[in-house]
Amino acid sequence: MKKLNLFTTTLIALLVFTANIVFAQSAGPSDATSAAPTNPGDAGKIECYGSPISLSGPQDAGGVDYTKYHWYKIDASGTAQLVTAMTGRTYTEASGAKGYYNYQVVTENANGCTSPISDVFKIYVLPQLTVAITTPASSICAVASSATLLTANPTFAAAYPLSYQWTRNGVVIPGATSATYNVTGETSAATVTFGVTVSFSVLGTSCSTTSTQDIIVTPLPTKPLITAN
Amino acid sequence: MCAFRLPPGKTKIYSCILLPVTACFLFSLKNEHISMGVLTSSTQDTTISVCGTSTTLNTVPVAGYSNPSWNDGSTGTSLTVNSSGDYWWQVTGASVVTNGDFSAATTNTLTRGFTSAYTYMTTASPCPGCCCGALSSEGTYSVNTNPHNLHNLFTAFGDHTTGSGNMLIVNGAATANVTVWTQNINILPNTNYVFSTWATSVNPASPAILQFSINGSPLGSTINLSSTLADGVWQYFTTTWNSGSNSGTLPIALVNQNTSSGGNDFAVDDIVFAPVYRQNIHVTFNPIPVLALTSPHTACGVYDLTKTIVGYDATTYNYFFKDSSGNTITLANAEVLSQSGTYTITEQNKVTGCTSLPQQTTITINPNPQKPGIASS
Repeated sequence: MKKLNLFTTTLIALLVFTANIVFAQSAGPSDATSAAPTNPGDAGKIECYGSPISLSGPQDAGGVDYTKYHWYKIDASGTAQLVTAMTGRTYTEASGAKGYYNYQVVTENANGCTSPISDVFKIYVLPQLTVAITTPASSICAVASSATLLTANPTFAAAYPLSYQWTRNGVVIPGATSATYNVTGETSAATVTFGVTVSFSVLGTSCSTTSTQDIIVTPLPTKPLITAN
Repeated sequence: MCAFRLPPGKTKIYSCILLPVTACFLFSLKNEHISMGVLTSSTQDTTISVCGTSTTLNTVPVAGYSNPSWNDGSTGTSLTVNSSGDYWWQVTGASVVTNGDFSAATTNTLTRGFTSAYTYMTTASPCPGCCCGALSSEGTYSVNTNPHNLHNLFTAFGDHTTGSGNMLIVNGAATANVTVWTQNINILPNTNYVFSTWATSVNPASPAILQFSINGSPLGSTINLSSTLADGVWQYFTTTWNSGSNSGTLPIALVNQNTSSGGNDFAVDDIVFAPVYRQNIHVTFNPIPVLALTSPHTACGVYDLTKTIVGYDATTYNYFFKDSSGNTITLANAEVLSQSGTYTITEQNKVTGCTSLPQQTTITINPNPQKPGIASS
């Protein structure tokens, strides 16, 4: 039993080693430094951060998948590295940091004949967008005049033009489209959830992120009565 | 000198100018046969290069010349050879010897055509004290149709020419370097001559030892009649001579070299001194390349046909490619073959020109998928 475990362990190690040799898959972008696309031809597709990368190879003239698809990813040095040789024409990969993710594919038919390698297909992954809401007070009094200012703080305010949309308990607050929102007019004691959705758009691809902040509306003390002792 | 390469199975006519320039030979070659046409010089050299391990050399008739013979002693118009080396054949022109077959009148020294240091006798010659006939004494000779007519101990037999004609019959003396037969002949310079005779013992005792001689100088090895062959069995002796700068009239002779006092009785016939033409042929055999292919082959898109050749060597060989329809394919196209089919390849040695047997190989070429595009999904 002990011998079997050792064998199994060795086999797994070998398989892992072999997989690493054959499929030197590298996470992250092929090109993290080039400028973001400014024209539609600069990249085949633009993806938001966190969106999976999904690519499709062609089918043969009869509309049938080729026997095998050899997917290559360009590494940081510009070399095409075989990622996988797979059946099925769709290849997916999780995206990482912003940058260009460059791929090529070779198709293989039933005779084992392979196509020329495709041209490079580029996907640009936009930078990650996060936003945090800050407020000087997380509670206000349940009176119309009580107020607090919510400020949306996005991670790259200057990189792209950002749009804002504030919500109150998930309902869009008309006109609340700036980076700040002044909470006021809350007259009923409750916990109110304010949210902000920050978005930007690059060549038709829109990305957004949302953050919320609870504001506690504290009831006012009841009108006091004075009694004689 | 002519030099040419001869592929197997090819028939071509070659011509070449010979030096000294006296004429031109035509060599007709068929299946490695070589032959000669118009004769103008006494010796010619030819080099042939043959693919394979055997070839047949052929002569052709030459006006005024006959009796072709080969370096190995064989006669006839062809010789099959199986190894590289030097060969020759020669043909003999008309003999310049007068009355070499001794058919002319015998009593007239002018028409007899030759002289001798020995004493001429006839069956009617007085021979006081002779025991056995006209040639009882040593140092005598005669011309007759039967040796026995001149000595009762000489064996009876016919001449070499016809079996019923005349021959020279001699009772040799015991003195060497004595001329038995001599004749002045006209010599051309720079010409090869053959000097030959047929001879036999007329009595088995002490077979004759003779020597060809020209202008007083011995020529070739001595003529030793067999001690085992019966009397009347004619034996052929021959030697060759190049006249060099000699020209004009020179004496040729048969000289006695036997010093035995007993025997030395012999007959001579058909003496020939004739110009010869000799064709020297240097034959080089070259191996036929053996082409080996690997087959069949399946390829994608295009295929390099040279990859089927075992030991492909473009430095040493030319390669020839043909498709299944027999169309020639250039090497450049053969290296990027795009059509499936059966292809024929031959290999030719660049130096020897020898070509292998054609070999076939079957190539199956499957199409490659077109260059793909990638879409995002």
